[in-house]
Amino acid sequence: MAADCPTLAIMGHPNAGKSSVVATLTENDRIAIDKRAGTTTRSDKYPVIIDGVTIMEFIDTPGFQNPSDILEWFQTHPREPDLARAFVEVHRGDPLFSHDCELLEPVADGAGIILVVDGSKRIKEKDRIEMELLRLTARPRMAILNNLTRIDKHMSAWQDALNKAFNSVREFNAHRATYAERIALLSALKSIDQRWEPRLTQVIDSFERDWERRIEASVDTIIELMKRSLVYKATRLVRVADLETQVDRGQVQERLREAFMDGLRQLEEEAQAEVRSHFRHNVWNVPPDSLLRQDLFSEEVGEALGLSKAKMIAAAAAGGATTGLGIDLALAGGSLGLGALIGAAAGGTVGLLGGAAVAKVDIQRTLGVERFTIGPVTNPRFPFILLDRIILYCARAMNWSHGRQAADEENPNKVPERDFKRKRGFTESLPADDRKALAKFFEAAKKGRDSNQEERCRESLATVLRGLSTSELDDRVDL
Amino acid sequence: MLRALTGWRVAEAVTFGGGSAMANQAIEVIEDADWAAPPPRIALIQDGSQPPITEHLRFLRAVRAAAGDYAQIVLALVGDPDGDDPLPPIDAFDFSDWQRKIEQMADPYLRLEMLAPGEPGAADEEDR
Repeated sequence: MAADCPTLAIMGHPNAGKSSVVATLTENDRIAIDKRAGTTTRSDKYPVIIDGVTIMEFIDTPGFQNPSDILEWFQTHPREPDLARAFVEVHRGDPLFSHDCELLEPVADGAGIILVVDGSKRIKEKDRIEMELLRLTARPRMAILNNLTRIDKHMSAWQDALNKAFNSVREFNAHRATYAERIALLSALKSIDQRWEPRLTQVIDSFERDWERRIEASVDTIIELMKRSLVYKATRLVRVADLETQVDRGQVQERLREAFMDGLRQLEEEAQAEVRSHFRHNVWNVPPDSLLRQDLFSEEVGEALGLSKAKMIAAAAAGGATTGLGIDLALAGGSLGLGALIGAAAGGTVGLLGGAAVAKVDIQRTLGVERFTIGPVTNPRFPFILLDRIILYCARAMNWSHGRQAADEENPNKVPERDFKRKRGFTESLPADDRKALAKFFEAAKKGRDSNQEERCRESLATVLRGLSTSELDDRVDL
Repeated sequence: MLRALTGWRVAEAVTFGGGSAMANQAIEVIEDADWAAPPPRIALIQDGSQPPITEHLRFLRAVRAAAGDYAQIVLALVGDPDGDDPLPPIDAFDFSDWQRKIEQMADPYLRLEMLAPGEPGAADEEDR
């Protein structure tokens, strides 16, 4: 193994979850993972690259096929100084042992070992054989108890057995592990070989810096989404001759309202795609039962996210909305401009806004045409709901393991589970001053102006995202 | 339970699965057996909660070689022993893993079965 690049072979019985562990540790959701046994038939290298530099390498190996034979060979060759190398050299040409040579080759080359075991099942004879033969290789080794189920009654027996043969034993759910749990696992690797400690410290520093960059990039995405959404308008020009009745005018307004809402949905989708990219998700998107799959303007979303009425009034007042929520019910359309204002109506009422309009329609007549404009958003609840939605999306993206492709969704979401007092959206839980700062920022954004509150809002959002990635904040798993 | 599954009477039982010495001992018992009513009939009770590996398949081939081409072999799979139940039924997904591998062996006289739950079972057994 190259001294400056820790290399670890992920080993274990077929179907123990080796590929899921590699996918999660390397954040590579394109590694083939199949619930069926024997999906991995050769050793594949998965480097961890940060800033173009390979800082660590994991090798996904096939499962053991002849563990008893390997152990017996090891036991009958006690004088071999390097058992893994010697076994590979003797058996390389034997097709019966092709998988075993493939999985021992990295160990023969000096890689450290991570044994992955399925902690939900009882320890079998074959498991003990695999533990013992890996102990005999004398390589630095860690064992991972990869329990993907709720069955934990065998875990202590596993711990006891593994402690006898491995330098370190960790519980790690490859389908549910968060960023914090990945870092904890990497930190534990330091203990299996003291020579790796300086390099692994660098690796963890690189991971943490990279994660911080992703949080900052996500904050940029969120701020940009809010700015673009809050100035967004939809416009339609219609010849006066085509507007013979109020029904015609109503239809134009209805289509315009739909176009406006579609535009806002599109902006949200673009922001979500950016977040996925920040957290290196190529395959994942939110599950079908998530609130994030509900329409942005649906009642369910409106009820679950955004600020409560009392907090909304306080925040709106701070943001400069002189009449608080009442402003939404007023007719808008103050822009007389060159044309004559001939009428204005509230935009369609939608569930999330509790019956209030999301924006107003402005209609101007000039030179034989009527110009219908809807937007920007006037409802003060909308930005908080949109913000809560994108934070919720970030929470899912940052804590969604890349090895989760074949996960059983009925199983626990995280290891360990933590109980949090149920709250609604994320913004509801912010300190009052932060909510007021957000309201002021939103008000400025609606007018297309820079806000002196933007920096404070950025810091507040980054704190929320950091809290979510370290599980200090509830990630609203039930939403 | 095994009798209900196969209709066979158990004459002798040996254990396998712990390494080559144990496997060789089981094979010797088959080779030395005096089969009262040929063809030989052998039932292998196997924990199916771990997927099949080459070692398992090699043992099956060794049993076939020792018992002869027309010996009836039943591979009866059980699940992961759980507390008071030493022979729980195998998970359907685990069974399909075994089924795929056994089919690849293309052995017409090798039958894969789930050992039904209920009665306390025996260790690995063979009938002769």
